[in-house]
Amino acid sequence: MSKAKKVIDEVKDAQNVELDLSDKGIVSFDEMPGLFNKMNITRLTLSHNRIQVVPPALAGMINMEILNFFNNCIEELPTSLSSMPKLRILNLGMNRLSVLPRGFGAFPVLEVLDLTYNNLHENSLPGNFFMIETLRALYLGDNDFETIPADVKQLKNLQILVLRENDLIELPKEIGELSRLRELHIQGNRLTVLPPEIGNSSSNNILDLYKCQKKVVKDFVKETSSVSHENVIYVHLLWKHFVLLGSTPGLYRDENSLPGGFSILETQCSLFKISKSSRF
Amino acid sequence: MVYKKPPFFTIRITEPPMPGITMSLGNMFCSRCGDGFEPHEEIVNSTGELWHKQCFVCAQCFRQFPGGIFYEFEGRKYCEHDFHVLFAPCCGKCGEFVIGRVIKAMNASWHPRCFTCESCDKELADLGFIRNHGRALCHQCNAREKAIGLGKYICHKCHGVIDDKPLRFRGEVYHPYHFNCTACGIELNSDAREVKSRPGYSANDLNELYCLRCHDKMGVPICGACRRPIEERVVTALGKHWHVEHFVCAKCEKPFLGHRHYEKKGLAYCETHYHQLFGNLCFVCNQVIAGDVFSALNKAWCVHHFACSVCDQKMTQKTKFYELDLKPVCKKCYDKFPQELRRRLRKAHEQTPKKVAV
Repeated sequence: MSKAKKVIDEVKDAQNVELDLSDKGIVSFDEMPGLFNKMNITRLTLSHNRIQVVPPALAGMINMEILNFFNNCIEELPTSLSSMPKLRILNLGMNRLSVLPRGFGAFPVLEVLDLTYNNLHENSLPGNFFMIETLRALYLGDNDFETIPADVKQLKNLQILVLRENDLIELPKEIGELSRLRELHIQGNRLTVLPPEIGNSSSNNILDLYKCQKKVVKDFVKETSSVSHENVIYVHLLWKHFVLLGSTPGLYRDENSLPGGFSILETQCSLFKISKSSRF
Repeated sequence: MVYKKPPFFTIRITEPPMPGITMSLGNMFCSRCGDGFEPHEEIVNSTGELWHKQCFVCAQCFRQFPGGIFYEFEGRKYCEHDFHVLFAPCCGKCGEFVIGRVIKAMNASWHPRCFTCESCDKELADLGFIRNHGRALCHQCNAREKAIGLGKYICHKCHGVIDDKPLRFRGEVYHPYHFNCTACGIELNSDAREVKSRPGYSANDLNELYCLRCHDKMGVPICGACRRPIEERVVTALGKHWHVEHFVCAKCEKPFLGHRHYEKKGLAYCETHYHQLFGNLCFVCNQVIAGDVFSALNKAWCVHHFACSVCDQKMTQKTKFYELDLKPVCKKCYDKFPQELRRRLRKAHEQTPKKVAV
């Protein structure tokens, strides 16, 4: 009997069961018989396994709120996934997705979607992808996007957008319409110009431009400082690279300012403040 | 202002017949009845006219004049009582007859001592007055009332209206230009500051005025809310000084009075409104965090929702973690990342100074 089966058999009839099956060497859902009958499960973590196929029947677990498939070998997803009524967090990072199923954007309450480190590009996205209005965080880092559709503006509740390490040449100015956006990671792309509109968002907290060309940042700061005077811009100068951060003074100035005894092993978070007159 | 002389008062006293002056009775007739006089009859002689004693009476009451005093008006003679009743004005204030100088004003007559400013009771007879909404006021009171009506102040020194900003000094308002800076002597403007005697100053040292420049040099902290000097306890927050009672929640405007406050975008909030407005929402459950808050990576978590974003294993505030896209990753998961990703992350990290002087 596999380790996974043992864990599943131990699931009691309690409510709100969270199931951790991380790093159990699971290759297929066949190794977890009876899983789909455990309707009381609200979180299923299957990270660090070797799952290739997600069976459509998974969608029958209607109380599921958090699904975590990080670091598996998934190439395709069932359409039924989008119909899960309570699914709030879906982590599909570090898989082999090169396409998303039709109607993928139909999630009723999805809040966090992590597609980091896949093989996705703009043509992989189904037509309704940007219709997930409840989405507050979208992670698309380490993929193959060359453009981002202007439809991104439909994600009205989006607070975090990660486009790190893609092949982006430009950004749609519609990103500036995401009024709640507070993190925008666009480092590691081939951007030559940034739309000044992205400086408009008043809640803009962190704009990560690490590895953007110096001139790109320079032009952007020049543009935005004439557009939005209120936004204090935090710029992190490191050699030829920049991390540029928006308002929220004092939140994050250096690692000493992290509250609650937190320490960060690897940190990218040291910033300092520039005024508009600062030298570039 | 209307003055009027007293209405033609003449006081004449009866004159007895003059002995030694020879007069023929046959040529003398009474001015009233036209009859002649009996020998030895008392004749009243007044300004060359003669009367029988019983004919020399008040034109109103036909009685003789008490004490021989009469008042003549338009050719008729009246006793004092009837003259007053008929002709003397009544004072608009005390209701008594006005004898002597009469003040005609405000459609009434007044004793000079009774016609006073309705605001300050000053006698107005010689000062002049101004009618203000049916009230007689002296010039000062009128100017003051007018200024109050316009929302303006009256200078305590020159009593003129203060059109620009007034200068407050020792509890009164003034035109600033009546004063000079105690320190540099420059003529003051409304920016001038009143400095109360502070410890180290002699006890009878009254408040003094200083121009803003000299005042700032004295190092008295200025409240960030009211821009006035802070004489008592100073609260220092948000990079400014505040009167204790002026350091308030940006939402409900209640002073913190030493209670905890939360800062956001240069504004301070009380606990209730900070959570209401910016709610520390847990990144996982998206609910306002009721208890302790774990904050890192520009995010917040409930204590029991703070976990590795890859394997969902709970972490505590002691757990060290890596970050990927500003999400926490435990060391175990990080070590399972592909080598090339770890290399990229490491490189990014190495190029990031750990600490930067602010």
